[in-house]
Amino acid sequence: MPSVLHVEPPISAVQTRPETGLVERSLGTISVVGSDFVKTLLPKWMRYPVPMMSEMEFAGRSDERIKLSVDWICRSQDATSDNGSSKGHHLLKGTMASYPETTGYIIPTLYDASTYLGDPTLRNRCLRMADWLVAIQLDNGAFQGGAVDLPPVPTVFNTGQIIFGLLRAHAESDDGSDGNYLAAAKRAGDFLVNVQDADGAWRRHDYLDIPHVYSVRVAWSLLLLARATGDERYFESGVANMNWALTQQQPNGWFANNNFKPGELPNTHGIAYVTQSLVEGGVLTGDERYIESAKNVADRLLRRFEMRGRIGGVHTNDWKSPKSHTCVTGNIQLAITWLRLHQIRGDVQYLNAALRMVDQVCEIQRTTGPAGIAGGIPGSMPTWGGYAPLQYPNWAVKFWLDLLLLTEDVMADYSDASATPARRPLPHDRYNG
Amino acid sequence: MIDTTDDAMRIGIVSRFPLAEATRWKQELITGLINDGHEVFLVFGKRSPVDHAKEAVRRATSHKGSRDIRLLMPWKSKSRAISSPETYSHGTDSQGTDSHRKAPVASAHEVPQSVEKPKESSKTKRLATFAKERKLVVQSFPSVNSSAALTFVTEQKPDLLILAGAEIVRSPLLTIPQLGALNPHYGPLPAFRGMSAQEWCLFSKIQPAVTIHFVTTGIDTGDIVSVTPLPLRPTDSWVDVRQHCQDVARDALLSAVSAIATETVTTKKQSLSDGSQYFSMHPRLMHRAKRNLESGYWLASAVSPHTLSPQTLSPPTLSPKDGPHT
Repeated sequence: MPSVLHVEPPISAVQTRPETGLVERSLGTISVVGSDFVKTLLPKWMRYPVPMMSEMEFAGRSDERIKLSVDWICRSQDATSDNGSSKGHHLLKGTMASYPETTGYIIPTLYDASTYLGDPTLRNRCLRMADWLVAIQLDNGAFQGGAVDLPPVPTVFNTGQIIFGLLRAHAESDDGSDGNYLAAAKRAGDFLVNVQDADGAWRRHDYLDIPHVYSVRVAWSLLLLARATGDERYFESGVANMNWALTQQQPNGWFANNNFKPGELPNTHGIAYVTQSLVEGGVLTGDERYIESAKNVADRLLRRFEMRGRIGGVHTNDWKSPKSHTCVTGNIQLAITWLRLHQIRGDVQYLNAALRMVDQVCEIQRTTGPAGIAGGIPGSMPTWGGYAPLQYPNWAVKFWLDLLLLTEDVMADYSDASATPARRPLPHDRYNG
Repeated sequence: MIDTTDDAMRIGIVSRFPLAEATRWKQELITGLINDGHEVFLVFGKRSPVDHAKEAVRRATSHKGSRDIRLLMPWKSKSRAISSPETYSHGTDSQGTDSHRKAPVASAHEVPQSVEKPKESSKTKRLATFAKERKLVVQSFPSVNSSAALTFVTEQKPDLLILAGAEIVRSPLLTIPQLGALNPHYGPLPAFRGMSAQEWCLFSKIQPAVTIHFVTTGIDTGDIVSVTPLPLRPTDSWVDVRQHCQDVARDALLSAVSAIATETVTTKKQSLSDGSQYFSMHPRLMHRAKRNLESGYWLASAVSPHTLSPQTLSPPTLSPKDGPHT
């Protein structure tokens, strides 16, 4: 049941701004596709020029982008009638239905943005999202895969991602009277433990009933759940899956069984799911093997990014990228991994590469246009590329916000106090808090 | 001055952007080599206008914001000249005082005490024009790794190559000269390999230096001939640091060539684990490096610039909590 601890606006009140008109949407689509097409005609070295800015201008630009992206997320929630966040904006189909999985992990991001921007209204949005998630939890504790307009099928990965949001909503309910979010997270955790195979992988109830290494992000959420509840079962389940993930890694860092569908090549999005989860798993368990495993991949892709200025969208087992698109979402996630490795290992090369990635994505993010496009991040570049083609998914903006907030957090240590605007400190260890 | 013909070598200078390259230190290097009795020829890569335009865009959008108008308009005669003294001598700085510029390589061989400097003071000729006026062999190619370039260099029968702002060279070119190829690297090796090395030194509060090393197929991984600290002064600007690098590179290369010619050169092998490969520094980090330069941190360094050697340099260990900002 949804929490009654906060005042919930009636559904009719939050139902949305009208869907963007057909003409405006069409013009937006033509603008985006046309612009991407022109970029593909340019040589690669001319596509993403690095702007010349002072330190203060860079920092100011980050603030501007954070606000722009938060606005996009807010609109994605307002565009639905259920308080969830829309899966995204499709250039042809328009606004998509609410997506439980990504709504779950958007919650911690919005809390961070609320702290950074000093905007308490975002906290209310988080609670509305969390309440919606509690309301749609399935009887067995799982959450459904896909958007809510699909038949509810219990799915491991999606369930794990929602745990992040429930735990954060619980942690932020500081009056101590909330029990719904933690209870819902525990029911979800119990489901995950019960359907896990003996070798640590999840096959049953995961997408297409095949194992996915990227489900190590579920293991990360279980480690957090173990910390919140003190229940060792969740910890052991998380560690078992992380250990299984390590067995799938080749010496060159590439992970087998990390594709979404059989026959597909793993994309940067899935690979970055793995790297960030292993890093956080290493932090939570103190097991250096996880961090080294993630570092093996992160270093390789960092070098490629610095040398070539781009990272391919999919990767063969010898790290070739046969497709021409780049997976913007995955690139952003990789940059988050680099920043976390910088925080953990102190190597400034990770920070340098992450800053370059921020520059590149700033060139991709549109600051004007129809509601679904302005402030949004495309799944791929060009927009019709292989990952989430013609879509501005909500999780791309979520990770983009995570990256911007983490970047400013890290750069606050390097910047001149006199040269940058005052910063609102974010909770230390907020990724695992 | 080398006074025995046995010590004279045939040296190829490898550079790029023949339509625009007009850096003074390279002309001074060539003059020094000729005065030492060596034969010199030039090979340019990246000769096409597209390559020049790419470089122009890269430089214009880089943190340094340097704009060499000749990259886009080769017919323009003026380049951004950096002031330098009318003449220079080994071991003297622009004020003529004996300072930090002594060549680091211990060599019994006599090095030229004074090198004729190009006459132009306010503008510098293109390197290709400069070389042709001195009747040196000059050839340009789309890439110095192309088969035509390899054939040309092979025909020149060089004893030694010097990479002076060259593109990345591949193994076939490196195997042509009998004695190998030298490269000046604007950072202390083995600690700082790769790009923006001088900026990374400043960022990490390590004494900036120029390393002369033999070139291998790895990036800045060849045997080290010398590591020369830059003679930084408290008032030095970003441009001054670059000028110091060029001056030190010129002197150190001349000393290294002399030592190689007289077979007195000593080298030190690198260990990859002793350093990291760096990439072009982001402008937000450049801000910190500039602040460090202004702070004059090297003045208070416990390690004297004169005593720096490859052994005393170690890779920086930075962390956001106790890193260079504190």
